[in-house]
Amino acid sequence: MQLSPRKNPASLRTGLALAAASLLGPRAASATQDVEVGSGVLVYTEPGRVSALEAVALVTRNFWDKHKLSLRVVYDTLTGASPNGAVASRSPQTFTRPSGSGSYSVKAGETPLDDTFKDTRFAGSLTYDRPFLSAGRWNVGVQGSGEHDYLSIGASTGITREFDRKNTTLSLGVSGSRDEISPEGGVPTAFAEMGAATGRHEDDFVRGDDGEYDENGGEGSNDTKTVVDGVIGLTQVVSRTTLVRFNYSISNSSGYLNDPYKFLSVLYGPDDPSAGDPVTYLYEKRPDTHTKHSLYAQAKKRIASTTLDLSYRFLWDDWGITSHTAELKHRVPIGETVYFEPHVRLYEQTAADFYRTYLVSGDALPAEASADPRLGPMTAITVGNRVGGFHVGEQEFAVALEYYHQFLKDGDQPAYGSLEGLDLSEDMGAFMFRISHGWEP
Amino acid sequence: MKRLLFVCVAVSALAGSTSGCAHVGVDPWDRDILAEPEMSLDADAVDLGLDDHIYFSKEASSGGRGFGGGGCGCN
Amino acid sequence: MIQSIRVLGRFRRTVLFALTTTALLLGPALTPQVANSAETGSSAEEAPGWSGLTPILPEGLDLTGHAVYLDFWASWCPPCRKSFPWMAETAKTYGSAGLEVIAVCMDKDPKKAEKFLSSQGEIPFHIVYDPNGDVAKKYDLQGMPTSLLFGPDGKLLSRHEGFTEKDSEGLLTELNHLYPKATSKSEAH
Repeated sequence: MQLSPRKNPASLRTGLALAAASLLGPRAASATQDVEVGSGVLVYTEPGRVSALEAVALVTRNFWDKHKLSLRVVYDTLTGASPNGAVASRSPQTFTRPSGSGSYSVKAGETPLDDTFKDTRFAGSLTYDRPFLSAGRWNVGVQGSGEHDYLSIGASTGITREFDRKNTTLSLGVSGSRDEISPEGGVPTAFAEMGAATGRHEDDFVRGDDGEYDENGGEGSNDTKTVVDGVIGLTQVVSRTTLVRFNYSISNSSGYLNDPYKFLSVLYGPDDPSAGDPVTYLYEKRPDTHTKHSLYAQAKKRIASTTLDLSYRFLWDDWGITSHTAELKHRVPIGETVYFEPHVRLYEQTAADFYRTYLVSGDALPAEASADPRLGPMTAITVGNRVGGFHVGEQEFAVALEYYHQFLKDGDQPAYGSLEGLDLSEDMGAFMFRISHGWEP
Repeated sequence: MKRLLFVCVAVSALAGSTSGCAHVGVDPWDRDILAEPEMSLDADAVDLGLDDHIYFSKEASSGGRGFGGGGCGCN
Repeated sequence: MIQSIRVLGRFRRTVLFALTTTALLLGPALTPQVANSAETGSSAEEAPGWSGLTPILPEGLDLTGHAVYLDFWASWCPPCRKSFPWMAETAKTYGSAGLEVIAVCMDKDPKKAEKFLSSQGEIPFHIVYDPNGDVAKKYDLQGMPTSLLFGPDGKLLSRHEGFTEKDSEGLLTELNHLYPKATSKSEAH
């Protein structure tokens, strides 16, 4: 005779309700319970630009036989100046604030930054993870996130199944979200002139040729975006000291994918006496669908008493972007529990097909265009170190300091006329300081 | 070209998992090192989450990590 | 309006794609599931009796005529650690009736095992060591902990992977069936 490992086939709804009750209720509810708590704070600062503070708390409650309920809460706040997409100029430039009221000026020769960024975001997710069939697990979760101009709700589910004495794990996950964007000053009409964001606008300098305007323009207007993600993964134990993982992910977004706060400079053409000077600024326009694919490989390896974590991601999408991300972490113990963990991350991306440093007055308007530096060609490096393993009672702490540098490369378009000698793709540097904490009472 | 790369990786991953039955992998009692928290692929989830959010908002690429696998393999 | 319908169509296609992929993974996931449980069953029947333990048993310990609860554990395995108080309780309750509890330590680092054992206070059952898995191999372990219950005749009564409350309840039922006299004592506790 064999004892059956089967669990009570409780319905999902009951399971979630009971799980929620046991997470929030008093501790004495179950005999096999245990709780894990993790939290962290990140201070991110780009000197002279944006600063952000992000706090996260993660609570996992284990209950029944290997059921888990995890609650994650994130709060972040961001202030400071961020590139608005326009190029630097020989003379000072003035931009209308996104709200439509007031303006900000940028000195000659400087990368235009919008100083109005101030945002607070709350996000939360609840995931229920339970055994599924004999060697599998199944999870289901809901998540939401909100800012003053952005609201996102989503759901996800995934399964994992183990094979060969748990040496091989196959996993599959899908998630979907529905986002609502309600920018300050309304949704700008694609390619509308700055300051005319809330209304229809035929601009005088650049002849639009597709005439496809968003139907939703106007004060207080909003638009939506739908994102569906899928991931299929394989984890393999290679040896007593080596573990590898491979993932293929696909992500499909559709709807409003523009950044409502980004402009493109329209410049006088090379033959004009004012060649390279700005004529006007247009709101950007991206395609309304985006499909990304990525392949991810990760290896963990124990070498002597140190742990090596290597990962590589290759990503490609239908916007013409390909990127490579390689990461290395090496955890070296320097005491009973304390360790150092140096970290290096290298990143490289090619530009989106519709990325433009600027538009030229008199040229036909492209079907899509964006000068968002995040869609341009770049190389980035992160170097840092984490020191962890500090114990205070049952609490464990780690601190990390990292430096992140983006080397923005010039696009295909030349710096002509008055642009010559200006930095059209200014590098960006940021410091990151993290404190993280774990607790298993 | 991209498709070719994908096929290559998929095939090698598949080959890895099937040959896994014969040579790759360990016995349940050989998981002492894999059971250590720092050998978990999802170790330091809090730090990873904070970092991912930064890169998500500063670069054109995001995601890809996935979930599951490894660990102590305890029942 | 037309645009939103177009978006919805695309959304449906994506969902359809996701569902198809789920079905593709679930399909193979379900099939070996059946095969696997059958395999576990047959390996349980084929597993050697407690005689497989002979090389590592303490000298002078004769298991003949005793029911044997055999547990493979390691100090790095949380559910294994969790089962220790239960094994101690079980050894106390059924030991006088004839049950022998043998816990096979699979730790490679004896220091870690010792550290854990010293935290357990009095251990009223046998601890034996199999750091290289020579004995464990004979029992075709799929995970840790694995426990096997042999009747006084040496026949395998049950095999169990993992340790949960439900498992321990099932085992107690089994033991009560073997040693009904110890039952009243156990319930009084």
